[in-house]
Amino acid sequence: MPMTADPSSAEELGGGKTPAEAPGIRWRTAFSFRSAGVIYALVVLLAALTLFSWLDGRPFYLNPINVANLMEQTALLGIIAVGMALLLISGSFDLSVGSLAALAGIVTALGVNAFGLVPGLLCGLAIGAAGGFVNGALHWFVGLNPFVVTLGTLSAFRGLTLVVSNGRTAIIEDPVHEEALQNWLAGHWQAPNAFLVAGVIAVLAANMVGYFRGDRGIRNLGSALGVFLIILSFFVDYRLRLSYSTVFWLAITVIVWMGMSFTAYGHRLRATGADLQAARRAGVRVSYYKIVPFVIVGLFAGFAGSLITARLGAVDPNVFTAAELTVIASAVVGGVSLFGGTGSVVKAACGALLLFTINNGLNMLNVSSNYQLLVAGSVIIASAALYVLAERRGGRRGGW
Amino acid sequence: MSNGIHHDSSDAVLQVRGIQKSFGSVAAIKDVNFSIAPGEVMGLVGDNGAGKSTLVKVIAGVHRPDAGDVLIDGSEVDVSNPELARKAGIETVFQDLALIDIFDVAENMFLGRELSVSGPFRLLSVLRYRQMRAEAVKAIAEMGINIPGITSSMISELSGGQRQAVAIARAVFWRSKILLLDEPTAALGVAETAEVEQLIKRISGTGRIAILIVSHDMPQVARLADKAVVMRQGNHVATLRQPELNPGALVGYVTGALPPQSDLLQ
Repeated sequence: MPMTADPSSAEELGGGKTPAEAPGIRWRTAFSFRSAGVIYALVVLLAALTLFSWLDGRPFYLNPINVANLMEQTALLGIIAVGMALLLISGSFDLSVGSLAALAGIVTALGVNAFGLVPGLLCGLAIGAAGGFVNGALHWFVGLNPFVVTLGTLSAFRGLTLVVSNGRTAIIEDPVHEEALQNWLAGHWQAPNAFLVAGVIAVLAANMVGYFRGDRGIRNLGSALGVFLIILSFFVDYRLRLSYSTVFWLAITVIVWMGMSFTAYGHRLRATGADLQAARRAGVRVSYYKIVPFVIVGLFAGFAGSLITARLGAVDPNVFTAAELTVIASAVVGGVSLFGGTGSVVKAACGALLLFTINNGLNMLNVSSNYQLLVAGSVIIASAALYVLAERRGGRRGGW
Repeated sequence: MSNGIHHDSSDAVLQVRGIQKSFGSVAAIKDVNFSIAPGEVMGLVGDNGAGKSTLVKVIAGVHRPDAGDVLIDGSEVDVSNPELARKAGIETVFQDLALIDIFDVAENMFLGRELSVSGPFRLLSVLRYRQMRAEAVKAIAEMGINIPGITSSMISELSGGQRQAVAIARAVFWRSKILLLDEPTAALGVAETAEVEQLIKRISGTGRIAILIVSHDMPQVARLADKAVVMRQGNHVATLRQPELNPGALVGYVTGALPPQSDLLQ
């Protein structure tokens, strides 16, 4: 009798199961290279940059100011990357997010000027969601390939941005509005000790996985890591002054991760991306799970657009040009499959951070921007190749 | 001959009456009648293009028939789409299984019908994953299916026979009244075929479910089925019951070597 059929034993997590039969995600899988490669890469990169910067006689690379800057640089595209990961998991693709973010930024500025603060912000978000819906509807109802649809809207949304803005920078006219926008969306928050925050988040997340998925391995390891970080926080005072955009990015990542991991919606979305026909036959309303991710990534692009408008009080219609490539690259570096079904929004967010860290590090080392593009491209290809090799050698994608 | 009598048997859970279906000028099904009672296994055989798969798809709600009715428990049901068919108690295990490779057994068993928390956060549909897993493991064990490492394996890590067993178990688990199996062992080896056949026998042995098997394997139909409907070029040419249900007779009707039965109830 290899398994216990008694539900009560599953209720009690310490059910005395051997590791091979431990339920849910196997922690070895969760920490395998295929599953957590982006985390290891990020750690190695940060260590290397710290070392180089120390050898070079520069200030400590991981000082709170630099880290907060790094996260602020990542935040806007990081927000879109989380949506992109969701979309890729659902089995689709979006090249138009940069154009859509620019359109939403312009619409936010013009909307605030025309209708006031809150209506203007809502206009920006609405245009993002509407643009995403257009992509999704053209893909699903007309039957066009998402690549083709969004290749078209990549141009079309940028064109619309130029039309609406007359090709000029849109400026928030009323200084009261400008200040309010900055206060609401572009301020900074002096966070408590980062080790404490990270530790608490790790403990909560690990216990959520333990509670909802019944996964002891992840719960225990995550909790141990979290407690270690919390203890560390008593000895190391590490306070980050985070931009609001960073806070939004982190919050969105956590919320979408919870949605993907713990709800029926996430479950069905993943199923739809993994095998459309099978999901449909199992009674999943696949049209919903094919279209809504486009709307979500559009909404996130719209939010990123309004954040940049708030930060600068003005927005250039050519902002976010080629952003879609960085966003998709983030997801790929984070191990999200372009074939749908597998991937994690948390790792996509880490992928975005990794790409911006590379840029930041190369800047610090005074490497010319020509080389930076070369390096970034190589990193994307190398990471994708490593994932493929790890998988071919039997590594499993982790389920977190 | 005992055929005919059972077409109108009042204990039939599934009755198929006068189904016709054409695609353009091609008549895929001309007139098919049969009924199945709970606990009964019916084979549906015929050569390629005889109309078996079309008939299964009509019953499963994938195709709409041009004429004829599907009755469940004696009353007509609307099976104009797969969801309605499923709600009426008809579960189909298609040839390509329709399982999600990257999901585990429990996630597959509950896909589309997940258990989620009740109460004020109902709309969030937070999964009750541990309960789903416990119920899936229990149901699999009750059906006598042995899948080592069931709680930690993805479907892609299971053998073909285990996958087929999971697909069948999922259909049975949702208390279907009628189980349609489309070529359940076509892709399996000898030992796995035997295991799946045992599973089908165990399920029909409970007496709760009517099972319809489409198969090219005449000896298998003879082994498993209580009766068999033979189709040839869209026509219902024979209904055989045990004990005259043997591979020789099936092949005879399938190929046309035996003339169509004259006493089929129309």
